[in-house]
Amino acid sequence: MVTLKPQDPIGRTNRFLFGWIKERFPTVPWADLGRQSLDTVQRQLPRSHTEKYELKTIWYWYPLYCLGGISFVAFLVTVITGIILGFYYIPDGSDFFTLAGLPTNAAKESVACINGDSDCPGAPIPFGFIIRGMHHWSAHMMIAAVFLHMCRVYFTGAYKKPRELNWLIGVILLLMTLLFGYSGYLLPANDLSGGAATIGINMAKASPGPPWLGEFLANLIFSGTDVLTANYIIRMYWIHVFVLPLIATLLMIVHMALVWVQGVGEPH
Amino acid sequence: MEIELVRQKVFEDRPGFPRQYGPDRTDRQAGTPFWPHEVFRDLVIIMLMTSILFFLSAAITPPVGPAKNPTVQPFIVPDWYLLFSWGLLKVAEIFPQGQIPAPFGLAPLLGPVNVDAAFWGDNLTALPVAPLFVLPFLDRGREERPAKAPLRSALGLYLIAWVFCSSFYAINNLVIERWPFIGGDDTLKWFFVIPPLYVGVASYVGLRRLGYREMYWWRVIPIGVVFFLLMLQSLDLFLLQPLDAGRSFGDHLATLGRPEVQGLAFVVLMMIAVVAVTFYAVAFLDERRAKALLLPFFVLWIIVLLAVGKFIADTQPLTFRYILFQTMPSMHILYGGTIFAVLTAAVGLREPYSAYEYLLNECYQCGKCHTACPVTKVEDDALGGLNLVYNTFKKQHDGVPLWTCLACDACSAVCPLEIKYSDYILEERAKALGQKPAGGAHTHD
Amino acid sequence: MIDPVYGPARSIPHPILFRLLDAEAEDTKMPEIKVEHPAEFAYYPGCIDYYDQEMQFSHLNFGETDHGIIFDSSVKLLKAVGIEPTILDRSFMKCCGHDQLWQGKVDVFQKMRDHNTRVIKMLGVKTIVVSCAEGYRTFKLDYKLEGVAVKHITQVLYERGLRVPPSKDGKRIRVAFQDPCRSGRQMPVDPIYDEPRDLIQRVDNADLVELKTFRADAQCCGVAQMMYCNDKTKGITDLRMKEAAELEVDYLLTACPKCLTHFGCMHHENSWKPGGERYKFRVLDITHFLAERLEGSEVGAAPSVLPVAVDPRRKASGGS
Repeated sequence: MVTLKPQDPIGRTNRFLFGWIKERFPTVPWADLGRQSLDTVQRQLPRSHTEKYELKTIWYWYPLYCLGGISFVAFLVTVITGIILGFYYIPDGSDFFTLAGLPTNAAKESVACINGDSDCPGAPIPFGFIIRGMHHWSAHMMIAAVFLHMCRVYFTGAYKKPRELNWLIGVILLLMTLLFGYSGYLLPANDLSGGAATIGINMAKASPGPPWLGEFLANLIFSGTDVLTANYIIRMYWIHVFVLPLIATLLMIVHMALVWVQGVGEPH
Repeated sequence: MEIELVRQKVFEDRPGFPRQYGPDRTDRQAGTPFWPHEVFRDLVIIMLMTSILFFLSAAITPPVGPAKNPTVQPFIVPDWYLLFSWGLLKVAEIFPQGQIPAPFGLAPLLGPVNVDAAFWGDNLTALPVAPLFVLPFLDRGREERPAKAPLRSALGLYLIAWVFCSSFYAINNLVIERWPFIGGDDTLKWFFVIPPLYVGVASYVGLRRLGYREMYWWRVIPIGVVFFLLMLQSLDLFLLQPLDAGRSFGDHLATLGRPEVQGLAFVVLMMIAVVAVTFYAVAFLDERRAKALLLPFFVLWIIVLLAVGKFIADTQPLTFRYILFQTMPSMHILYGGTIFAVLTAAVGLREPYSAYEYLLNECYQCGKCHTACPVTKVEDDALGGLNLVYNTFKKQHDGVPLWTCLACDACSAVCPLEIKYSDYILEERAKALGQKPAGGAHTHD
Repeated sequence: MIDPVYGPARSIPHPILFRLLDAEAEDTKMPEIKVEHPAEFAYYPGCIDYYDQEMQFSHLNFGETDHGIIFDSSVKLLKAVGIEPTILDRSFMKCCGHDQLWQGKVDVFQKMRDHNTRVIKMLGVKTIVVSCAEGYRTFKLDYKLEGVAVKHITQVLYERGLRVPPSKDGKRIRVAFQDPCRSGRQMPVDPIYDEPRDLIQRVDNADLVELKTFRADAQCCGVAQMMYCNDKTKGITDLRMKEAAELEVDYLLTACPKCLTHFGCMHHENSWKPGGERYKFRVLDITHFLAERLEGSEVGAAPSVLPVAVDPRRKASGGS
């Protein structure tokens, strides 16, 4: 019996690499599962009312159903650009003074360098302003898309049974998105950040309940109760870069999985 | 014998439309495959989005600004999505303040609660958010279409308008700086109450109309209330507002000779005129005549108002300024009320398009109409007989059901969605003869 | 005869009647009317007096399906409850336009509607009483009459407490009622289900029997807006008559002259069948039924319970 060896180099390389993996991990059942899940009827995008019943109408609310997807794509863009920004951002908010006597801090200077501003003490990051701009605009786009998506779900009644859990997850995601945005614009440690942090600390301290609750929340979220001395940058960094992305990603996966299982809610 | 078997199978086993669920499904329509259809479609949207983001980030770089200053508090405006909370914080001073003491002995644990502006601003932010959490448990109805659930939709629009107005109040100092004739902060505070209410009520009236419900009182009461308030406001403006500082009652009436006051009187009278005519039309005329009166009147009114307004603005700037300064503080009733009255009348009187098709879209092909229809018991056209509502829904009526239908409404009697098939017959038969449908039974006033 | 205005050529609507009515609609001259008895109630008979004359039903069915009697009975019944109605008859009112509207001829309907509305306003009528279900729906929903109440005669008799004297013989009769579609399930406001049944039950020897489908589910009588008269429509009418026959009713009552027409035609056709298969019940309008039972009334000579159709031509010629 003669085993024919294929002579083409690409095929041989392919088989060598895959063979290496296959000898250590059973790929076939998993790949099969993937292929099956792609091919079975349920895994297709089911027909909408218009397609299923061959209606000769145009329902104007159909394009609005892409808003959830848009918010997810915007989230992905923010994550990718955020990872890139994280390489150059310094989460240190302690104040010091420049040679000219102006107050500054390391966080703001790192952002200035990313942005290519003139008051960057070191070398500006090439194309940093594009990445920062994309992070900024896709964050706004995500918030707008999330809000409009919620409006669409509300007006088409897609929060009703059996989708109540999905709606609650969505509302929590909305609040987390707003928190993302808030923690995000506190990070550059500029004027806006300082003012917003002041408001935030005061609001945390004014939480309903006994005074110790307010103090506790202010300490938890802003690492301090005094607006002038609280070193909130590092706390906000932690929230913005780890806590929120972890929870938000998990919740988004659950949210989309629920839609996958329950189907898209069309008003009828 | 065979024809009997065929008839049995056709009439009893298959109701004439495809069954889409369950083990007996006869319709195995494939969906759209994920690859490559869905992937390509999504890729297009994603690439479009990314290109927009690239363009924006290259063209409009968000500025960084000076670093935070531990000694000086700058004037800042938070990002747009948190402005509603900022506005609530700013308005919180109008709420009562004080201290809630702790119950006896629990002071160390619960402590006195300071009710101050920060407290109110903080907790009122929960106002637009809390209803979202309880929404699915409050609204347990099955109705999903927005136009068929007008209360829910109007409440949603009210909330959106409220959030928008709250965000608007957040920049109150900028607004007052730019447009000093607004008068003062009080006028802007009313933005929290009146414009969202206008939006909510007008959208409720319009959606109710779309759902073919009883309309008369819903048109008359809001416009009537606004008309009443408008008269009160005008009286206040003319009798109680001082002309110059230090003078008092009756000033405007006494000084009607002055051109500014004449201009003011003109504007106020125009507002009263249009709201009065609108109220008269919706209260005392039937729909046809009300529409026939209001539309040309409104067009004429707009032309006159704009022409005279432009004339005044160009030739007598002092009068124009005077009018702005006097009327803008009461803009909610004077201008807002007028717009509201006209809009409510417009949405409350308009004829929804294609009455029957809108209602027929609710059909979910249960087949009860087919079972109830007496014609299906004697007609043997087509496989599975005639399923009138479903075939019409799919626009497959080939003329036969239209003229064979007895319009006895047995189908409508059993339809779980109460789709009135006889309305369809009236409309389509009229259209078949090239005539406009007569309106039928669905507008009951 | 293929007339595309009326739809695919399946059968014959009644063109003579409709051409007549359409031509009448064109005449917009307002009549000069002097009201002899101005009354709160006005009675509109509608087209029932057409049927016997123009449509020659009385001739076609050899006198069995009597429409004019509805007019007579209605007036007698209204007088029995103390109402002297103003009669809005054909001399100055037009057809209500129901059939034209449902056949799609909206312009003709609107001409009739405008004329009739003007006459009604001119006469200062406050309440219109109709004995026809189609008229009831048309006046109530399709004519937007302001300030005028529209009532079916059964509603008026029910509200005014019509009293039917006890019957002369104690024989129980089984009475079924056909709910007309127009006055029942097609009315979003004030549908008529209970009033006729209550009136039937006031006749002390009547047992009300419900047909297989009744009230809002009542099966159609087979034809509407005089659209067709063919094997299919007759099939539907036959279904309904069979239900009544199965329940062995003695009377099949209806509140709509159109239902009466179609049941009457079917009854007449059926009367040519051999004895065992004939319908043994009478088909009457409810007003005719009630008026027959009012004391001292002579509401036309009612045919016998077992109508046997006699061809007058045969009789006259004395043939075999």
